Amino acid sequence: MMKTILFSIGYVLYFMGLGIGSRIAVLKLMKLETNKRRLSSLLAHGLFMGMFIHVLLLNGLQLFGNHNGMALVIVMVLFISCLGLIVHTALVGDGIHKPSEISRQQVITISLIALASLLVIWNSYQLPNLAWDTWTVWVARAKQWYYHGLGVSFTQPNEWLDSSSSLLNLSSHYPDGVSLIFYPMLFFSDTAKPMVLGLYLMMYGFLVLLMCNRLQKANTPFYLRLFLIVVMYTTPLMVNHLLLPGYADLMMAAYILLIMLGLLDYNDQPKPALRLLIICYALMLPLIKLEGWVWLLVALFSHSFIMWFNQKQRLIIMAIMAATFLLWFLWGGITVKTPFGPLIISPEEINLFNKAYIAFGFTNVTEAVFNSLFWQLNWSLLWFGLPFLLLFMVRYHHNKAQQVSHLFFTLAFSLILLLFYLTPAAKYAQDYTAINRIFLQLMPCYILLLFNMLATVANQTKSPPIVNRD
Amino acid sequence: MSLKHQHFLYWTLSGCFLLLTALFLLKSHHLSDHPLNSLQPFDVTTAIEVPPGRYYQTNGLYHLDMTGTTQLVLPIKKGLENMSALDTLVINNLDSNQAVNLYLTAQLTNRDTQTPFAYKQKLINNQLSINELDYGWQTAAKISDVALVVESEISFGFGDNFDNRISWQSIQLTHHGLINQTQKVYTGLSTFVPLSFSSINFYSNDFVNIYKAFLMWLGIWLAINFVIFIVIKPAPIHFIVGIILAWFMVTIVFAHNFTLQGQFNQNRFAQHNNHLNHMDEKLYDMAQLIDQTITEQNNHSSDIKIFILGGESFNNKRLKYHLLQYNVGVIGRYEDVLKTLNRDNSYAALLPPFNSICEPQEPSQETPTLNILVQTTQFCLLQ
Repeated sequence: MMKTILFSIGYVLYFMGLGIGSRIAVLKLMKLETNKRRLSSLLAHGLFMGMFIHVLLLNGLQLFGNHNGMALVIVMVLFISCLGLIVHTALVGDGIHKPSEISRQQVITISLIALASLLVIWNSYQLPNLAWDTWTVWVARAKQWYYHGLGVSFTQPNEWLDSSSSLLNLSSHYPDGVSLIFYPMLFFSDTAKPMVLGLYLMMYGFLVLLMCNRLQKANTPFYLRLFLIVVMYTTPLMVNHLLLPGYADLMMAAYILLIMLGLLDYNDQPKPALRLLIICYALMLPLIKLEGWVWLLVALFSHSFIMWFNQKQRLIIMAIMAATFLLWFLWGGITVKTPFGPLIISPEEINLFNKAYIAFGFTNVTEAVFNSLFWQLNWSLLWFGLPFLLLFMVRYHHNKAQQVSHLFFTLAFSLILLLFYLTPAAKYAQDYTAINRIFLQLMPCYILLLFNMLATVANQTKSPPIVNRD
Repeated sequence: MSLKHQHFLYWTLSGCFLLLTALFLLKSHHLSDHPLNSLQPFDVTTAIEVPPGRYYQTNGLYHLDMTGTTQLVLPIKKGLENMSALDTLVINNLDSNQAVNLYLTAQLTNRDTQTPFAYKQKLINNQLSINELDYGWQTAAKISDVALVVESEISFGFGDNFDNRISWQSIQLTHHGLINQTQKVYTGLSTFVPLSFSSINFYSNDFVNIYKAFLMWLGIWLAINFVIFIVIKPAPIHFIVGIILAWFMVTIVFAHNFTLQGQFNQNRFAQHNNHLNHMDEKLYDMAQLIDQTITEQNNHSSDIKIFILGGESFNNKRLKYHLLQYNVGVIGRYEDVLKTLNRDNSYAALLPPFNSICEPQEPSQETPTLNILVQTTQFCLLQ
């Protein structure tokens, strides 16, 4: 067990070194001012940035051959260079983080997170790699790279029967991100499970810490921040994803929240370094799962809609969009025959040159939605807060970064409902195989919004809310 | 009104509504319209047919021996005319060590359409198992072939010998009005729901009704608290403390399950955390044997291809996982595989049920000849 713990910590330190070092290097190269953070935030962002750099790097190395040894040597060289840069900046330069005294509240917060993580370890350590998607998809692909080389090509059954060099992988259309994160673990552990557990706990712990730091900035009372930790470690389905680690959804949820946190930080201090950070986190979304593209587009739309236009312009844009939709709906959509195949975007179907196809049709999935959000106890009492959050969004004054978060969450939640009510994905809601996983991807973002609301309630006097929107 | 009085009033009203909501939900839970005095509980304990030697009584408990089998169907010898009125099945002092799944099965006839359909309901696996039988049972025109089904839980980990024995004090079909509703809710909430192969849902739909009542209670209470908060206007912390209290009530249920899950994991996986279950361990051994056989023949050549014949079942997927050091895949189309197998360094593996492909064949021109390299009762390997 000791060996596993050491490997896990070592792997997390590798990500942190890679993330912090490459950030310093890029900022120095671009001659940008370093946005110094407190140590806990620096390490947390280092971890998540390191995971992004790692995935990007190995994705790049896959193009240059099939040698695991070469890939590992390059990764290690880069890591050592990053370490050198960090040490140099810390000792000779102007330091890497904002010096701050360790407060008693911070010690209690970190201790509580550590205690919760230990309880999860106690519960999950004995378990083998049970999680279905983990061993069938993510770890399986990492194993294929481990045995056959990082650059090996994957095919589908028809081509595989006649091919002598490519490997069969039914989920080869999925992005490589999660598997690339698991891939180095296989050099230390055959099942990778204990190290995956270690990584997920660290990742989750740092995410909770970042949420606490953010709430602290918003003058949230300490008892509410402690309650946030309790919520994060007692929401049943989120804890399940820690007990059976290796699913991509929690990772996706983490990066969605990081974008939100980055935007809120940028709103406080609009520095180019922070902009770069947000872009990196946004780029990570499609590297984790296919739906990452959807979240990326929703985030881009929410950001540009709020940040680039004033309220009057937004109303005009919304009116144009509504009119376009109405015309499109009444007109019956667009149908064009092209040499590359049909291009159909109609209320019945979308067909992009026979490459992407989706048919629309209403299915009543209300029971599945209610069961998954409420009665299965997946999310404890969290979704009872939704009406109050919506009310809070429209009744109170919020800064632009908060408005982006609100719009992103509302659009993403509506899209999930549209997907399950109007497309064949309804079957994944009715058999409960996908619905909760998709909701999970929004949960940390939703929880942060709920706690922002509670913080506002806790800080308010008896005077009525200010209705003042720009 | 002073601030102190506001707080006192807020918590007094909040506490009253907490109790009132609970009482309202417990009393309003009424589905059947049969008069209680016309119903007598039906004792199932001795009315079930059990294969000889498997059912015995000691110290007031009935024991069922599952040794050598993974499923026992225990039909109820003689049913009742108004069985649908008995809408609750109660098992007292059930001790199963979480090693079995229990179901009630029957053949029902729909009251409106008069069409028969098969009925199966999962039963709560707890010391006191109180199961409200669902709407289909309660509204059935006719109920026949009622049986209690006991299945060994072999999907997760490695049980012990004592997992083969389960016991109970009594099993009764009764009416919900004759049982304590508070006890029923408590029993339901404290029932262990183990993790499964996938963490996609926390609780299965089998227990939705219990959680629904519980969460609805807390949800309504919080909504009432909000209204009281708006009207009385105490300090906001009081409203937030109410939310925290409600959260902790749900957390007790979660923490209880979390603790049981930890104990379950210790019992089932402490010595075997490399494999998912007995079957997986066997599949790992098969993969080792396949690897050994191929290595002896080919000196571990890099272009070896292994076809696992069949569909994407758990066993085939798991065997594939254990053979990932090779170019391996699960393929259902035997004819395509047979053509490809003509090449050197190609192998096919088949798990039961075997077909003719695993029987020695005479060479013919139409179909390629396959050598059976290894054949056991658990798999065959062909080249």
